[in-house]
Amino acid sequence: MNQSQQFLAGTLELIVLQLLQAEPTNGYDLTLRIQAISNDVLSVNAGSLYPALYRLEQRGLLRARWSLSGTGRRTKVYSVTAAGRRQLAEQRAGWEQFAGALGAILKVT
Amino acid sequence: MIDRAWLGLRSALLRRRLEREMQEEMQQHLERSTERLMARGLSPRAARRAAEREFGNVAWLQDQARDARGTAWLDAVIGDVRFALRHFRRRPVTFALRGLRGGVGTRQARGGSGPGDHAVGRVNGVLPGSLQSPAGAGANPVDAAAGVSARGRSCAGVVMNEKRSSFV
Repeated sequence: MNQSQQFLAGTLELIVLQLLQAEPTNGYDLTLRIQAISNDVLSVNAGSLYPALYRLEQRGLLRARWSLSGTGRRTKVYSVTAAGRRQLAEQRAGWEQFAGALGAILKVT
Repeated sequence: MIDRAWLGLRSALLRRRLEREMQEEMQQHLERSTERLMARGLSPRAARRAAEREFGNVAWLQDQARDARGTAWLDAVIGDVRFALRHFRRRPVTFALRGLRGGVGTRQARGGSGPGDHAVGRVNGVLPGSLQSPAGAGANPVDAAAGVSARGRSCAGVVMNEKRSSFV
C-alpha cells in the first residue's frame, strides 16, 4: 500500500460546505475538486461523500436540484442554503480557533 | 425545527423517487469514473472494474445513504410488514398463534436475527439514546465495521495521502 491513510474526523462536512458555497456542483465533480484543490493530499471516497451530502441535505444545509450538464447528462447539483452558510461560518470559526491554538502549541520548543 | 420536520416528511413521502434519484446519481458517478480511467488508457472492462473498486460496495453505500436520509427505518418497517403478510398468506393459523405469543419478541430475546431485529436497529438509529432499545444496539454489524456511529453523524472519510496517488 503506497498510502498511509489518516481519517480526519469532522472535516468532511466543513470541506463540502466550503466548496459548494464557492461553486455548486455534483458529487462526482466535488470529489475531483477536493483532490485538485488539496494537490492530491486529501481525497474523499464515494462511500463517505454521498451519505454526507444526503445528511446535509436532510438537515436543510444543502439544496439539490437536477439539471443538464454540458454533455447533456442529467446531473444532481448541490448548493448551500442560508442555514448551511450559517453553519459553515460557525464551523470555520471553530476550526480556525483550533488550528491557531494547535499551531501555537507546536511552536513551543 | 419545522424545516427539519418538513424535510423528514418529504423524505418519507418521496421515498421511491429519492431512491431512484440516488441510484441514478451513483450510476453516473461510476460512469464518469469509468470514462476518466478509460481516458488514461484502460480498456472499458478494466476501467469499469477499477471504477467499481474505487467506488466501493454499492449496496452498502446505498444503505448508508438511506440512513443519512432518515428513511432506512421506514424501508425496514415496510419490509417487515411485507414479510409478515407473506407469512400470513402462507400459514394464517401459525402466524396468528405466533403473534399471540409475541413471536418476534421471543426471537429477539433469544438473540436470533430477523427482519424485526433489523427494524429495531434502524429505528434506534434515529431515536434519542434514552428511547433506544438495547436489543437493537449494535444490530447492524456493517455500521460498526465501518466505524460509523449509530446516529450516522461521523464525518470520518476524508483521507490524507502521504504520497500522491498515481492512479486515483
